[in-house]
This record gives sequence, structure tokens and C-alpha cells, in this order.
Amino acid sequence: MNTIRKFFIILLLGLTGVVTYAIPGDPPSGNGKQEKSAAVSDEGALLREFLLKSGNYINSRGVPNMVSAEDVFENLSDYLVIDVRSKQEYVDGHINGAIHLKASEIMDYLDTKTAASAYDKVVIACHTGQTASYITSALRLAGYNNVYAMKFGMSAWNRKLDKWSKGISGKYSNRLETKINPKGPKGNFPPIKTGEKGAAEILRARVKEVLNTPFPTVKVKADEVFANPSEYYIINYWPEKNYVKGHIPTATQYTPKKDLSVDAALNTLPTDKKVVVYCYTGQNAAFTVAYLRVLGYDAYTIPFGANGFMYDKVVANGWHAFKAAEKVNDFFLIKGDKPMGKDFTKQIIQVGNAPKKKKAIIRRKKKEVEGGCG
Amino acid sequence: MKMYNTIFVVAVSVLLVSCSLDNSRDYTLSPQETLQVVLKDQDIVSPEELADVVLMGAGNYQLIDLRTPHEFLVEHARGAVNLPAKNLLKEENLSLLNQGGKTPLLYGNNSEQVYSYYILLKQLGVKNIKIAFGGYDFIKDNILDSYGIRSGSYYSERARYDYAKVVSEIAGSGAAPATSSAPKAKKKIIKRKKKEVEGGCG
Amino acid sequence: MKKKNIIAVVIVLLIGVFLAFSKVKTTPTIEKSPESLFLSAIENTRYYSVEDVAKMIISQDPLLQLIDLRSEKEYNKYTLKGAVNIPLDQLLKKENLSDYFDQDVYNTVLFTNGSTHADAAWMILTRMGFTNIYVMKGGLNAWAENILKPKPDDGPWDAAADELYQYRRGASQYFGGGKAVVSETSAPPKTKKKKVIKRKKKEVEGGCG
Repeated sequence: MNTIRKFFIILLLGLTGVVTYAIPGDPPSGNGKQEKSAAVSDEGALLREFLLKSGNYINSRGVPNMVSAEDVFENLSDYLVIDVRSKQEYVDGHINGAIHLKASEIMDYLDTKTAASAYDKVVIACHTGQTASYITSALRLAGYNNVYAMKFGMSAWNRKLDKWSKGISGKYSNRLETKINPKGPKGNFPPIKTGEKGAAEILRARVKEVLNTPFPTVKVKADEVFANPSEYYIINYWPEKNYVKGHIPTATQYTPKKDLSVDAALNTLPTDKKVVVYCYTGQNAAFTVAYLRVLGYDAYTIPFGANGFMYDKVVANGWHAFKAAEKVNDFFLIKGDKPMGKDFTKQIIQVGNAPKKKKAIIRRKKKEVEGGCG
Repeated sequence: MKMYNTIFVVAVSVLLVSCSLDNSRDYTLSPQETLQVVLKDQDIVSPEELADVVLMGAGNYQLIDLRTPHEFLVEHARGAVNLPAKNLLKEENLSLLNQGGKTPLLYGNNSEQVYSYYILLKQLGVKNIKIAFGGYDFIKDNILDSYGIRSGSYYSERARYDYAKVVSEIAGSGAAPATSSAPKAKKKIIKRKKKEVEGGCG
Repeated sequence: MKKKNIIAVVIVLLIGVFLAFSKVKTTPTIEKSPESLFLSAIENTRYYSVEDVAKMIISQDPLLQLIDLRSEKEYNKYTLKGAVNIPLDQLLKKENLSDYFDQDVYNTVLFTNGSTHADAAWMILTRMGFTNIYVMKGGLNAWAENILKPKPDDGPWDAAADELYQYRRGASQYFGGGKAVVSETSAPPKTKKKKVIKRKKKEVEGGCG
């Protein structure tokens, strides 16, 4: 009798034990609260490191990222064209299918109202290509890497909108110097303060800031620079062999695709003085100025570049000279405030001059591999 | 004798109870709670956060690659550990995901795959977990090879097109977009036969 | 055996059974276990391609039940022919469950703009024990890219790819409001899992330094 009783008691205890172990307990909740990341003490250093690690944009292969007006014309159905001129100018005549946006609205538009990934290319169109270059550079830095500037802007689209020809001048061709001015001493970088905690977020905040700074405010006329050169740190953004042929007095040469890298000569730029960059047409300089401003420099560009004050020298040397006959087309303009025009088909018929290039269906985006060794 | 009978009966009923409780795993969230998790959408890292983790190793994250060992071997994000999806429910992996310290940040072949497993894990009570969309292709094409986090397809649930507009474009002139006011007709429902309870004792 | 004892045994047994079954959720369907749900998820059998869905719509498949899980606003702007709108936050409303999901006759195909929310809905419904639930892979984004605006494959010509493209063009005509070019009996070519290597062209910068 006793053994049977003991047996049942043991069985009962055993089952109780089984039940206790069988019921799965709640898994440990782990580190539930995300560790509050400390505020970044040196945002600038983080930003600069990130720019290097994310492809060193300003020195990457495709810069300056531009497309010709002809290219846009042939690919209207695959591209998204964003017209950044004034609303009135847009209404008076724009590219078929183009939408009108302010520079500060583009990021939000590409994130929420559509998807940048849905288009082969997103093309920014302005008057002369310089504003578009500034905007394109800023957007690309923030990770919108299928954005391009339309080269020479709407001036190349239709002669009615040609603002380029008025910008050409040779007025300072005889005021150039050839002496070599050395770069400034290596110094500190400009401070950055956005309040963001991660490098990519800091970059995005800086780009937003740059896009909120209207392009006209980052232009400095050639007249002003020639009159008061000591006010500015002037960067000639040409290869050295062209620099020595004649440049703005006191200008220093920085080699494109090389010297302005974070780990190259960037720290020779002053942080307490206005920096002016000029190139041949003002477009490459605009790309560069956006990049420098993202990094915290007080950077400016000379409109139309060398074309705007030493045109005859540019032509004589075979540099990038703007010639209306070559660059300006006769493509159709759509009036009104809607992107699409009803007369779209007319556009194809009317333009007899457009070269019948074979439409290359470029679906693959060309990627740029970081070159160099290691 | 009577006492032994009752003890025996109690033992049997306890056995029955324990069997029903003895599920190898159980859901922690109800379907309604799971739906709330889906609607809140708060465990998906932004493209910027992902770029920070991949390029700078930033944050308190541990990257976890859900792809097959072969795919992982060919290439993977630096610092990621491989946890092939088919092994997700193994006990040791679940506790790996739940321990303190770094927050697991999952990525896989694409957004759908990682999201499905994420929802499953949330239902099983995993609390501290984040996911990245776009799969390894996004990391490679839009972060490692070239910085295009905002030009790649990351948030797949955002409409990439104005569908009605696309339809009107391909129709040429003025074809009505294919909207439909579908009638919520009560269809003839055939109730399924109730199945027997899954599981049981051994 | 005394009668009293038998009654006591029966009562205690019933208590035990009740305790055992009280663990089961009070839904009319029987829940799928996590392991079983996980296996279904891994198999990926829940996906219909956009071509499959196009075929079902064109052939007016009577067993097709399309559910649009997006908001009412998006649904009114554009949806697939014959789709019913159940915004995701109303997925588990009693009347929706009983009207659409608690049955095993119709093929219920869920879709949204992408796939992730439809997949999540599939997870929840399948866990609850409902069957015949599928997901349109890629959602309306894939629909727009493949059916509405199909693009020819720009690789070397491939018979299967070309057949697929021709089918899509026909479907595009149908859904664009043009005349139906697709005969209702033609089946879409099986979308083989062609390993589409979406490798983008790379340009290697030459040389060192």
C-alpha cells in the first residue's frame, strides 16, 4: 500500500515539474530601450569621413553630372524634368512633361510624391545650367544619384530663352596674370552644427540647408572680384597647364577631381574669408560651390565662368566656349501651368533640325567605381 | 482505496492540462496586436541610418544577413553575421536575437522576405529588432558601389507611379482609368470544416 | 465501484479537459502553429505574379477575389478591375473576416503598392487559420512596370522573354482601355525564375594613381 501511495505522489510531483518547464516563459526582453546615442561632438569630422567613405562625390567619375538638351529631347518619356525657374517663366514656356518646383521642394517631392527610382534620369532645367548644377550637386551628395543638370539650361532648348549669349564677354581678358600663387596654409575645417546624430543625417541636413540657400545669393560678379580681389580667396578650378596661361589676379589653382577632396588640399581653404570658385562655363564651379557649402565654406561662383570675362581667350585656346550656333536648339515649348501639352505630337514634327540620333535605350545606370589602388 | 482513486484522477487531469500547455512555441501577440505593429511601421531603419551602419559601423546595431550561406560567402556587408532564414526558429537563434547589447538589424534578399520574417518574430515576442529594406542588392548598389540611397527602391510600399495617369497615357486620349466600384456582394460562403486541434501529446 | 466515485472521476476529468482547452483562442478558426506558419512563409507558395493576376482578370476567373489593402483614397484613384477595398487597419473587422476570408472556395489575392503590407496581412490571416490567401508579388508598382508599361528586355534575344513581353503588351492594351488584343484562352508564359542579373555596368577607372 505504502509503495503505491508513494508512487502516485512521485508521479504527481513529476507532472507538476513537467508542467512548470513546459510552459514557455517570456523571452528576456533584451535591451528594450535603444541606448541614447550621445550628441556628436565633432559633426564636421564625421561628415568629412562619411563623404570619403560614400564615394568622394566631388572627385567621382561622373562629375559634373550633366546631360545635353538633345539627350533630354530624345528621352522625354523616360526622364523626369524639373523646371526650377520662376513660375511665370514656366507658364510662358516649358519642356513638355516638365514639372515646376522650387529648389527647396525637390527632395520632399522625390521622396513622397513620386520615386526617383521610377525614372532613368531626373533632369534639372534652369536658365543657363548653373543653378541646375548647384542643385544637382547638392541632391547627389544626399544620395539622389540619378539627378542631372541640363547643360546650358533652357538657353540650349530654345533660342527664345537664350540667356547665355548675353552673358558672354571678354572685358577682362587684358587684366589676367600668369604668376603662380601658392595655396594657403593647411588649417582647420569649418565647424558644422546640425544637431543630427548620424553622419548620413548630418549630410542630409547640410544639403537641405544648401538647397534652401537660393543660387543667386552664391553668385559673385566678375566685376566685383576684379575690383576687390583681396576680399576673396579665388580658386581657379582648371588643370595647371591652363592656369598658367592666364587667370584672375591672386587666384590659386586647384586641380579638378583631385585637390578639393577632404583628404587632399581642402584644408588649405580659409574658413574666415569668402571663397570664390570659377571654371569655364560656371557649371562645374556651381557643382563645386554646392559641395563646399555643404562642408561649411562660404563659397561663391562667378556666373558664366571664364566665358563671362575672358571669352576670346577661351575661344582661342579651344576651351569650353559657348557658341550659340552649336548649342542652342529649336525644341518646342509648352505653355500653361500643366506639364503635358496637348500639342505634344507637333513637337516631333516641327523640329526638323534635331539630329536623328539612334535612341539608345540606356536602362542600366552607369556606375562609377572608385578608382585607384587600395 | 478511495483516496488513491482521486489522486489517480487528479494526476490524469493534470497530465491533460500539461499536454495542452506543452507547445514548443507560442504566440506572444494576438493577431490584432500584430496588425498594430504592421500599421505603426516603426522598426524600419531609414536609408540614412542604414548607410551609417554599413559605411561607418555606427549605432548600437548588429547586422544580420538572412540569406543563404552561399550568398553570404560571395559577399556581404562588413560586420554582418549570417543567419539563414530557414534557421530562424531554432531556439539558439531566437535567444541570440533577444539578448541584450546590440540591436539586431536584419536584411535579406529583398524587402518582402525580411518583412515577413520580422512580422513572424514580433509575433513570437522578439522585442528589440530592426530591419532594413531593399535587400543586399540595395546595400551593394546604393551604398557600397555608389551613394544613391534616395534613388534606389527602398520603401516599396510607396507608390512609384501615378497609376491613373499611366493608364491615361497608354490609352492615348481620354480612356477612363480602370477604377472599379466593386460591389461588396455577399458571396456564397462555404464554411470550412473545423479541423482538429493541432499538436497533442507527443 | 461506487456511483459517487464514478461521478467524482467524471467531474474531475471534465475539469481537466476544460482547463486544457481553455488555452485555445476563442476564434472560430483554428490557429496555425508558429512552426507551420514559418514553413509556409519559407516556401513562398503564396505569390502570384502580376502576369498571373492579369490572366485571371482577363479570363474573368470566377474564383478570383482581389482585395486592395490600401486606403480608400488610393483605391478610388486607381485599382485593379473587380478589386474590393479593405484598408489594412480594418483587416480584422468581424464582417471582413466572415465576408471574405473565412472560406476556402475563392482564391483571395491581396495587393498594395508594394508587397510588404500584403505579405504581413497574409501572415496574420494564415496564422489565424484562413486558407487560399495569396499575395500579388510586387504590388501595383510591379503592375505598372510590367503590365501597364512593359519594356522589352535589352539583353540578347530570348524566346521566353520575348513571349513574355508580347503577352504583357497585349495585357497593357487590355488594361489601358484599348481593344483587347489578348485572347482569353491564351495563358501567360510561365515566368521562369530567370536569374535576372541586375548588375549595372561598371566603369573601372584605369590604372593606379
